[in-house]
Amino acid sequence: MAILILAELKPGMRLVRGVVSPQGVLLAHPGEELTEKQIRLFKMWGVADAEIMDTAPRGAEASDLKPHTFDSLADEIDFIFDRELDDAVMYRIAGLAKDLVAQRGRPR
Amino acid sequence: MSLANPELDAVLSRVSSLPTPAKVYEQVTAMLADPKTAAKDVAEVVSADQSITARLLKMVNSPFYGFAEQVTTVSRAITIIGFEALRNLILASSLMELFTGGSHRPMFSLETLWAHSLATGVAARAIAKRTGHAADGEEYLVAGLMHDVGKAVLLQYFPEKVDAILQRVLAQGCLFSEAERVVLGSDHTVIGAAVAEQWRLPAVLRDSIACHHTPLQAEDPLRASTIHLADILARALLFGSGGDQTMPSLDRAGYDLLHLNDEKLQQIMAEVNRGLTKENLAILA
Repeated sequence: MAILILAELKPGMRLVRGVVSPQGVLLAHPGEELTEKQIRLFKMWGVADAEIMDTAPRGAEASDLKPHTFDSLADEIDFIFDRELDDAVMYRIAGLAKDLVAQRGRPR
Repeated sequence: MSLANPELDAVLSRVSSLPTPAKVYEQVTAMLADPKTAAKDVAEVVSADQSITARLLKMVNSPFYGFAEQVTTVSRAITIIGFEALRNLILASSLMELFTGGSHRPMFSLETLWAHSLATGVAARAIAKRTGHAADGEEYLVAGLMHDVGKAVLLQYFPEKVDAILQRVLAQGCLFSEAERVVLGSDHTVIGAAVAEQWRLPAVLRDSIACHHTPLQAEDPLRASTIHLADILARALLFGSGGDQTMPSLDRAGYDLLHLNDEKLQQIMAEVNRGLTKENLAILA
């Protein structure tokens, strides 16, 4: 069991305790398995964290974990913006960035 | 916060014994407080530190400044860029001298961090200029360069903590700062602010380091919002890496303070993208 901040919650994780918004609204019950929709709902309601069961990455060691690799720079931009694309400004920034990096390639 | 946090205490204790920036930074800061200080006296003090002088001239001669002539002496650099910009560049140079090498981790090293920091600095300067908040934006360049100094401390002195943070980042797909809060009970903004205190950096610099993820909590929200957006633009344009593969949320109220329209946003991003070529990034070497 561990308390995870909102950004760490993933669909399929199971709640130890119910999730209540700062305004006192019950958003999920103990034992429930999280869905994508619920996590979005938590974000909208300003939920900071939730206690979930069995959070350790199963059997994963640091050396097993590799950064994501991408077929193209545009794919990489889509990936890193994934959770922010609901914001109109962030959506625009992602679009502009894709156009610009397409002209440039990676400078590292 | 009064809760005991041994993890953070260990880091902050290391910060309190960090080497200070090059002595020349303090000397120049003291000299600039005296209005009677002459350029040649400052040049003499700076020139005595060869590695700082070399890095300084490399920066002044980089395309970031775009001077037609080659600047070969510190006194000429002062004439062109002025005292304040010189002091900022000395700070940035000595910071890079202090944090070099270190360990290479998956997608994260001092090298990738400096590339990200430089891009953030260039973006911050571009934003400050386009929004009319600073004529030359020099201070913003340094504020961007330094915004993640707390991560540099972790990379240099706490590689095992970086491993634990990265493990979480990669397993959960979260931000570096979110993983830091789980592993350390705090994050690099707090560590960076402690570094700024330790080095007695200007309060505005400490403020933007401490609040680049929470700009409305800053004493100068406009400046912190500039660094906040600059960090996002540097990430968006894939310059370097701050140790994660996701985006911090944009603070919309902070963004609104900047009064950017779509045209300005486009111009800023194009300017940053043009400015950060392989050649320009070589000043980090």
